[in-house]
Amino acid sequence: MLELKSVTIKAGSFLLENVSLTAREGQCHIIAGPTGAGKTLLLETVIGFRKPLAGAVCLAGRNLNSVNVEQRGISYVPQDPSVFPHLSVEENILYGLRYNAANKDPALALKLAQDLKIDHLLKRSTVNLSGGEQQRVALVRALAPGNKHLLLDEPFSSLHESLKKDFWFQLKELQNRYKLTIVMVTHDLEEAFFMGDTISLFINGQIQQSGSPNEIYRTPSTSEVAEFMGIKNLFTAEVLDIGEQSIRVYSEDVGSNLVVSAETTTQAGKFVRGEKILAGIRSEEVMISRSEYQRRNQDNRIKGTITHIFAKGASHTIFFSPHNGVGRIEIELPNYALQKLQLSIGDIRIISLRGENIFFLKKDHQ
Amino acid sequence: MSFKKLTVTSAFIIFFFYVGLIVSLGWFWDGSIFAESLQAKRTYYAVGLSVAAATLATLLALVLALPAAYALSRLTFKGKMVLDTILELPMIVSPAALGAMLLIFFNNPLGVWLQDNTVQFVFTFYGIVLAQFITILGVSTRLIKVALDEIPQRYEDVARSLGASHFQAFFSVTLPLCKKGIFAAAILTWAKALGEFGASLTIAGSMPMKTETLPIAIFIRLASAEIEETVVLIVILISIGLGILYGVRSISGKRGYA
Repeated sequence: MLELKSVTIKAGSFLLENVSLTAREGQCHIIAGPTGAGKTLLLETVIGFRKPLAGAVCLAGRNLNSVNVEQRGISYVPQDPSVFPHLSVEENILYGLRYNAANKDPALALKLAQDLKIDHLLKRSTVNLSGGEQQRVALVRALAPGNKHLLLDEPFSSLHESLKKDFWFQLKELQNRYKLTIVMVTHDLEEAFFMGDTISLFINGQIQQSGSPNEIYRTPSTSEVAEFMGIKNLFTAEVLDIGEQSIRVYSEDVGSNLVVSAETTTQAGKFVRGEKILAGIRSEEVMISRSEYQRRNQDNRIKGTITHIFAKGASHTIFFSPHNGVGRIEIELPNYALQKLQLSIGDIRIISLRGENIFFLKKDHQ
Repeated sequence: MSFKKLTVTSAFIIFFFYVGLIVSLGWFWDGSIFAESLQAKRTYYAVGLSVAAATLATLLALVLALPAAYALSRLTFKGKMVLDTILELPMIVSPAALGAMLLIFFNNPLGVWLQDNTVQFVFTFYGIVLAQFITILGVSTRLIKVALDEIPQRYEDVARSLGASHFQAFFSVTLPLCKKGIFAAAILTWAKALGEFGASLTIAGSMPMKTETLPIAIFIRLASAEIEETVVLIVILISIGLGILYGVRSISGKRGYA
C-alpha cells in the first residue's frame, strides 16, 4: 500500500497542505484534476524528488521520507518519456538493471518489450522513435527493474486519441499480469474512468473527493468537483421538504420543484428545510419528450424553448431555456436521438430531470 | 534587405573584420625572419610553454568548473546568485589588475605561507598556470553551466528512479549527454588561456626561456620595435590557436551522442 499521510509540500510559492491518499496494492489509483492543481508535485514527492515539509510518504507501512529516490523501489514515467537519447532502445530498457534493481534478469525487460511490441526496435537508436514508441520504451524501462509500484505522470497526454486508447488497454493488461500498483496523474476524465480502480479528484491543492469511478461519476461531492467533471447543469435551489422517502427542492433557475429519492442521495442527512443548496444533473441524463404538453405542477418536468443546437461530431449540445425559470439547461444528445426527436431551434418541449440522476450539493462549497 | 541576408551579411562583416586584421600583417611580413624565428630555441620554448601552461590551466579549471557548474545549473542553495555573479570577475577587472591581485595575495601572510609550503608561483611556470587558471575559471564554469542547462534535469530524475545514485545518474546520463558542450567549453577556455597575457606578465614576468609565453614574447618584440619579429610570432600564435580549434571542432562535430 502506497500512502501519503497528511503531507505538506512547498514548491516556490506553491503550497500543498495536509494531503492524504492511499493507493491499494494491485490497484490503479488515479489522481485527476485541472492543470496546475499540483498533481505532478504530489508524484514528485512520492518518488522522492521533493521532501515534504510535514507528513509522510509510506510504502507498505515504511516511512520513505528519509529514503533516497534510488532506494525506494518505485518506478516513474514522466509526462515527457525522457528516453535517454544517447542509448539504444535495448540499453534504455536495461538501464535500471545496472543499479539498485530488485530484478537483475534481462528476461523480464525483453518479455515486457514483447508485451508492448517494441522488441523489433531493440537495436535502434531512440532519437527517431515516434511519441508512442518512446512512451512504450519508457514504460518497459520503468518496469524492467521489477518494481511493483509505478507512478505515471500524464503519460499519454501527448499521444493521438486512438494510440492513447491502445495504451490504456495495454497498461490495464500489464497491471493485471504483473500485479502492479499504479498511481497515475491525469486531467483526462475518460482516461481516469477507464484506468482507475479508485479516483481522487485533486482540485485547488486538495483532494476534494476520493472513491470508485462509479461513486465519483454519480455523486460529485462539491461544486468544484462537479465543474471539473464538466457538469454544466448546476442550479441554485431551496430545500422544501425532507421526508423519509424523498427530498423536495424548488429551483428558481429551472422554475420547478425537483424531487429526489432520499435513497439516491447520500447526503440526505446533511440538508435542512429552507437551506439554499445546489442541484445538479449531467447534460447527457436530461430527457427530452416528443410533445410540448404538460400537466400543471408536475415535479421534475420542465417546459421551455430550445435556443441553440451545436453539432459536436457524434453528439449535439442543446441549450434549453425553461419558461418559468431564469437559468439555462444544457442537454447532450446523440445524433440519432436528435434526428428521432426532430429538434430545431425555437421548438417548445418538455424535459424531464429524473430524480435518480439529480444530485445535491452544499452551497457553501462554492 | 531580407532578414536572412541581413544576418548572413553581419556574419561575413565579422569574418572580414578579423581576416582583414590577419591579412594586414602581410605588410610587415619577412620570410627570412620567419625562417629564422622558426629555428630559434626561444620561439620553441615560448610555444611549448604557452601550450603546456594553457593545457594544464584548462584541465585544472575543468576539474573545478564541472561540479561548480552542475551546482549552479541544477541546485538551489543560499548564495547562488552571488556565486554566479563573481564568475564574471575576470571579465570585469583587466587581466593586469587580476595579475596584480594575485601578486598582492602572494605578499599577504597566507600567500607567503602558501608559497613557502607548496610551490613558488611568483616569476615561475606555476605563476603562469595560476594566472591562466584564474582568468579562465569563471568563463569555463559559465560555459559548462550553459551546456548543462540544455540537458533536462528529467533525465537524471528518471535515472535515479531506476536505481542509479546521484553520481551514477550524472556519469551515465548527464555527462554523456553534455560532453560535446563540455568539450566545446574546454576548447574555448584553452584558446583563451593560450592568448592570456596581462595576468601572466604581472605575476610571472617576462624572462626569456623561463616565463616568456608567446603573447608575452609578442609584447616584448613590439616594445623593442621589432615589428617583423612581432608579426612572425603573431602568425605562429594564430596558426596554433585557430588550427587546433578548427581541428578539434571538425572531429567533435562528426560525433553523435555516443
